Amino acid sequence: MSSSIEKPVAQKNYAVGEPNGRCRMRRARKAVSLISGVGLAIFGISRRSWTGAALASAGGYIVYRGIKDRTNGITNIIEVSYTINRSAEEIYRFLRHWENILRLVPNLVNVHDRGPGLALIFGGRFGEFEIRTQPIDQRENQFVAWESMADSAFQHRGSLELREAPGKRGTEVTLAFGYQLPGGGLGRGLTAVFGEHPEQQVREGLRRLKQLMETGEIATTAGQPTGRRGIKGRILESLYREKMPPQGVERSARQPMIVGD
Amino acid sequence: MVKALCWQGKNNVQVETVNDPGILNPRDAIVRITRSAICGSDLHLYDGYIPTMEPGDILGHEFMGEVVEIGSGVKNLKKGDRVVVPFTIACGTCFFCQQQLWSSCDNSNPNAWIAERMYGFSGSGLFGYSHMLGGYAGGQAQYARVPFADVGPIKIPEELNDEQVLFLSDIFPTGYMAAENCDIKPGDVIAVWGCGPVGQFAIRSAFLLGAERVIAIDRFPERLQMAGAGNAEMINYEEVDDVIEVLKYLTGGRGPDACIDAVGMEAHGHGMFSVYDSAKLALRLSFDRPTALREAIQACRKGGVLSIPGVYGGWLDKVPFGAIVGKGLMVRTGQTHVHKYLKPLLERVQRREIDPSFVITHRVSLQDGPEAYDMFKKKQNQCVKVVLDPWKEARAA
Repeated sequence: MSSSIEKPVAQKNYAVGEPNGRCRMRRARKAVSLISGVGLAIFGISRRSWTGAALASAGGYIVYRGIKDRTNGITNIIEVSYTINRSAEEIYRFLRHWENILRLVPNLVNVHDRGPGLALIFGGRFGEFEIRTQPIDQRENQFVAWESMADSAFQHRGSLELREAPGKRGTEVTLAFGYQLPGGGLGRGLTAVFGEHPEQQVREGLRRLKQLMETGEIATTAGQPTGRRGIKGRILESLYREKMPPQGVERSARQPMIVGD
Repeated sequence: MVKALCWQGKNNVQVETVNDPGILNPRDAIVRITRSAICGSDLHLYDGYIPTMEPGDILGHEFMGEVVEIGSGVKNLKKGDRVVVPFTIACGTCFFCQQQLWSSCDNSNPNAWIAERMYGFSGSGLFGYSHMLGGYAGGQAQYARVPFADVGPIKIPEELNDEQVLFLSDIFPTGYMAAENCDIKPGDVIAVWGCGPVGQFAIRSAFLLGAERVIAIDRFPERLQMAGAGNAEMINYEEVDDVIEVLKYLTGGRGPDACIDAVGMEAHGHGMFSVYDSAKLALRLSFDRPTALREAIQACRKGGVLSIPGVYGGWLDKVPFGAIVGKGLMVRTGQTHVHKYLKPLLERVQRREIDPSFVITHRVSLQDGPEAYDMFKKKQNQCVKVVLDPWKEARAA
């Protein structure tokens, strides 16, 4: 039983990464991000409409990310916690299966077991890319931790921990994820605007886990009828990320390879 | 292809032909809508005060109809069932649903991240009420998809007609919850700001729950008369100098035991603060005009209850919070936990304790929906509540 956990495993933070020494390159990228962000913001403000306001805030966000980047060091860490109204055992069992993980992680389309480590294939707006990762530690019904292989294009470490919530409220699920995004501040800004920022993906992934565990499905409106959207409607549709596909319909068709327990 | 009322911007609702809704999740159902209504809160959308609307959004959150299709996960409904659909969408299994806090459901808003940025946490998804609150296509249409159909819709017995039960979807439970939140005890006097449909149901619910007297405040004679028909005393705020003084006078100097703000963010109001609010709205510094709320706070007796079914969207200011603290008021509000009230209120309708159709003043076809919005907004033709028949033209043809 998860109630037997005496010391919360959260103290063991797997997500913290090491800074590397590519500061000069990063500074150049940040300059690009700041300039493009300011440009987009000015263009947006000059439009004097809701669409313009959206563009302006998008530009503002790129600037913000660029600035935050300057002070944030090289590693970004996100920690998200949700309480799921299910037992740790049920959640752990669910997470053991790759077909379930494919339903959780936005844009993850396939998983291959390639000898040492795993290859995670991501699709999405910016084309298909591969991330190499490997499990580093796990304890049944308590936590799992993983990190990127040295040759992975996307450097990251992550851990997911399960703890019994007080008052029979289920299980507190905490996901810590540290990463370094290729493209620096600009990459981060653009991915944020298009809803493919790692922080959003981590948050939404955990939310999907909660929804699947509690309701058996992922809430969606993708595919419902609408009236004429027009240009403004289409831009907003994209900002509000309505086109997120309903729970792995496209994915299950690809027959993901199942990695053994 | 089916017909639906779509939001196309401020003061712009159009009848459009849209694709048929389909089952997207196992717990979905598709309902062929037999009656739908325009809600006062739809006017906040119509007036452009609710953020995150998109041109093309299908409106409507008060509807009922016949089940025509069910997903594999829906076991309690079958094709042909006649149901009323609650406007809040709730999963039934999360912590909040299990506490009967259905409108706080954790799992029904696909766009929870937007609401989280605005409110810290997201409430449940709603039909046809902005993307921040789910972005679900609404029910002012011929068909609608109903998520979590295994926990939401309530089956309606044959002996009741559509108009008697349609308002179980929103305004009856909303008015009822507003009254229930007042913790009514014998001898209590309840004041209700706003005699729109929710106010009307709050008035009648307050009596159902044992209020001694109910005082209704509005400025439209037809709405005050409707309140009077429900046994409320009436104050036309345009005809008195100071509503608060009148309320004191009417309650032996005690003040109402509970005050219900059934007006919300678009109070018409009067006086200095109302000018201030309008100026801020014009500058887009605010979306809310809390005139009724200020008055309700001011009028409430010490230790009384302030119950707010009216919709507020964002940040209010010039709200006399000192009076809330100074008098020790209890504030209760929230989107209605409709699921909780469906069965008990249906039973009250069956026992003939109330016939909710009293509030209907206009019955129109979907095709006439855009004009109905305009009429309802301008409160022309003594309009209190509009009911839409999505199939009127189809039958006539």
